[in-house]
Amino acid sequence: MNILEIILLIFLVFSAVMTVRFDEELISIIFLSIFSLILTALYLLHKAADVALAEAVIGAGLNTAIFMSAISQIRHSDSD
Amino acid sequence: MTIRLIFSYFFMVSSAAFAVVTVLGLLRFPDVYTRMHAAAVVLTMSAVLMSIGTAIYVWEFFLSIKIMMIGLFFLFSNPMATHAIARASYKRKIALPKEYEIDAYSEYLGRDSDEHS
Amino acid sequence: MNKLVKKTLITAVLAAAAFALYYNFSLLPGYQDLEKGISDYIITYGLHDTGSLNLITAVLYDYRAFDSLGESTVIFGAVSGIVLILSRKMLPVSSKGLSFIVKRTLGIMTPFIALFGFYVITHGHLSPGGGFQGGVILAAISIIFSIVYGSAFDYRRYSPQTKTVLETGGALTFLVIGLAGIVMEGAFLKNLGFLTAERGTLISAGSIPYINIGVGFKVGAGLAIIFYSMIQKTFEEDF
Repeated sequence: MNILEIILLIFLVFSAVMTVRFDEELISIIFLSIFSLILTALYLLHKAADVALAEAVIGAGLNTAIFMSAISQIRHSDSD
Repeated sequence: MTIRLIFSYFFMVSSAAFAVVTVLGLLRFPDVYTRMHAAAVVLTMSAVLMSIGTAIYVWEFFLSIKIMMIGLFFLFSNPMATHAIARASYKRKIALPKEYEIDAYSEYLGRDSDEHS
Repeated sequence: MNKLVKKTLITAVLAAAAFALYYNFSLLPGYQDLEKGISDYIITYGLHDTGSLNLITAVLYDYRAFDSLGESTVIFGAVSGIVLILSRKMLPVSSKGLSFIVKRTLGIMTPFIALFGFYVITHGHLSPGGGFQGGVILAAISIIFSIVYGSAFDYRRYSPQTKTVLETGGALTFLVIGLAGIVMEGAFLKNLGFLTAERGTLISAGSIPYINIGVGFKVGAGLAIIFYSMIQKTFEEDF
């Protein structure tokens, strides 16, 4: 367990806590995508390239877009 | 061989310096648009330099070509994404000052200048 | 009385199904080296059994191909539910999209993203990747279309009917390869041995590349349908 892995793990826990703690949904979504990005780097450090690719594409890319559209839909129905 | 490694380390260290400058800019600049400026210009330079350094470090034809393609992708995508974010925040009137010295973009967008004041 | 009859019928059918499943699983053949652990077996004999250099794809689409079929069915169920609940009208409510700079830049970059998606799908048995990851990359193209160019553009280029055809086509490819495994090799989804070529080439590893292509189109079209049906009323204003 080298120093880079420890730093990444600390940031992983930090981003996960920040995802839960914020009240505004937009900031939570952005921290969630940061979480997946750090997780991708960790998977790559452990030489699991398949899982890293899936995590990068789904967690950081697709989840963010789908959550964004869901959040904006909720806000529209609130403001109407 | 060692001269190649020295070149690659030079590119990587300069890229890390650019990244540090980016973080300083993101922390120290006052509002959204100047921070966007720091992220667009300096971070693109940092990513491209890092990809060049990595391509020199591995020094294998197809691998280097792939890494240079990643750098080219950054060169296209990062300024475009920053432009999109800055334009959206301008249209949403996020952190706009009360009055301007100069506001050319509002004329370009065709918005009335006294609408948002 | 009627309810009681219905309940007993349902219980009888469920019990019969459970017994059939149990009987089916008790008849499964065992590998000869299973006591050393399944991961040791796969690492040792995976390349010889399947011809796939990427052992994860070999596990996903050869040893555990039935699991992958189940995952595809789960995605199909999710797409059906979301479309049933969320799509209020099929005609698009579109925005004008983002600015001219973003449109031109993505016009240059989108073919390369599509190329990368197809590369990840078709080289799933040689390098990291596979049908699922490449399919999500292809779905990202549809997301780019509907955010950047407006969802009317996405509707014109890849209408929901086209996406439905692609998704069912991918699932049918998977099932047809599975049935071909019954006909040719004697078991459902067994690797088609006569398609195997020299290891490391593009068309090798039996039926794994074709299953990859089917899963890729199915996942990409399904996730694109999910995003399209969620976006319909949302991004009306332009940025």
